[in-house]
Amino acid sequence: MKINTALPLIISILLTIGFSSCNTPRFTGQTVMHKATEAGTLSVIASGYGDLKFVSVKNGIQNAFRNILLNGIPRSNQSTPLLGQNAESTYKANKRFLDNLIENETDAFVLEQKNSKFEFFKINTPSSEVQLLINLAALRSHLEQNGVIREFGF
Amino acid sequence: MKNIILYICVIMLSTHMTAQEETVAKIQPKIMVIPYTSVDKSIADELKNNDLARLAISNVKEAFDKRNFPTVDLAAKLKLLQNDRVMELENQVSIKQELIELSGADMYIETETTINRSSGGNSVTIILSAYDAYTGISLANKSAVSPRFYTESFEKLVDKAVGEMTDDFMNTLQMRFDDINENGRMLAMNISFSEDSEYDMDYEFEDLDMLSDKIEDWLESNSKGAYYHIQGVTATKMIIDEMRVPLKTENGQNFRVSKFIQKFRKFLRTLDIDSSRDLQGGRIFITIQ
Repeated sequence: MKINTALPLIISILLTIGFSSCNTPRFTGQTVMHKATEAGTLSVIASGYGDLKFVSVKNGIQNAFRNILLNGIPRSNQSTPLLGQNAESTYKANKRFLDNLIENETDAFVLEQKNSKFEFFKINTPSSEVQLLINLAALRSHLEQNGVIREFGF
Repeated sequence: MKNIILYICVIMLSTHMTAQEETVAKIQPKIMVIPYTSVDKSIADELKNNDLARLAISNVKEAFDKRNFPTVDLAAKLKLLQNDRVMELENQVSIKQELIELSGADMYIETETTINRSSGGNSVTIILSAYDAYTGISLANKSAVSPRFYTESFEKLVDKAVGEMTDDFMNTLQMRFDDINENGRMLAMNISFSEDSEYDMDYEFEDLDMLSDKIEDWLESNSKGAYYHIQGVTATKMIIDEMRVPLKTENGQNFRVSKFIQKFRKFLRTLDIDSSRDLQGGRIFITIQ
């Protein structure tokens, strides 16, 4: 390929990358139910964003746990927030503990994990999608034992 | 120096009180899981003849066990009661209510299983409904349909359907419990008059208040958050189908319904009215003499 034909092509590719980088990416952090599972477990697909694969995967896992705690996952075993009716205020009251849980302790509650191909150039769609099987019973028990949520009953 | 000693005493006393409050465990509700029955079927027959209902009940009970919450066993209760009326086929609806009352259950969960047959395969539908035994208020509902398979092994379909729905059902129930914890438990109260009573609900006092007005005022100031609902008032009866009372007293003890009745009867006494009472769990019957 001659330089005079290749140059405009290279410039246009670089411009495309440049322009697309200037767009404001839409981070949804969505988490949806993957498939129905037996009681005590939860199968979800979570979206993650990041410049590197491990960053986006970690972001996906964190989004999944944040959604389970604060919003619940529609049609799943946990369709209501795990933190209860007043999830936002419960989160605020236990912010340090829950931030640490989401940041550092999620591995203990993940039974299975499958990461999608890393999509570096995608802006408005997630960089990674993470399929997770979460040990919901253990997570609930962990929150109960640490006084974040009440045990079953009054 | 005196002040310091007094200060230390106050701190020690408050610490002791807090510790005492924490040691008083909340009385948990008794829950019984029963099969759904139509008007012409008895619970005992349904339990004996419907394998799927038994399996579904067992699975629901297992879900409670996993949350460390024991349930009242229906089969054991039936055997214990040895109540011939439970076995009778007539008037099953009232017998169901009687069984719930005799078992002492505060809440009961009805489990309905239906087999669906079609050319595309067979499936089962499960409906779980939780009720407050005294007020009849619905606490949680959940239904699920198993996937369709060309199988006659309905046990596996029930197992799968119940397994996939119990977590969410329990979560909904827990949300109700949270609400009760915050806003108080539910009671129901019937106030009636003995045949030879000189009073009725329209009896007028010197301040022109009727007896029903006085009772309503009392309920307003003695129910938690002034939450009470009067189903109806006639000259001879007042039915309060729902009112809220706290789970714990101000000093951290469990709230006793008997104390609540005692307080109400004392209030009636201030109006120069004698009364008798019956108590069935959370349902109160007051008879004004």
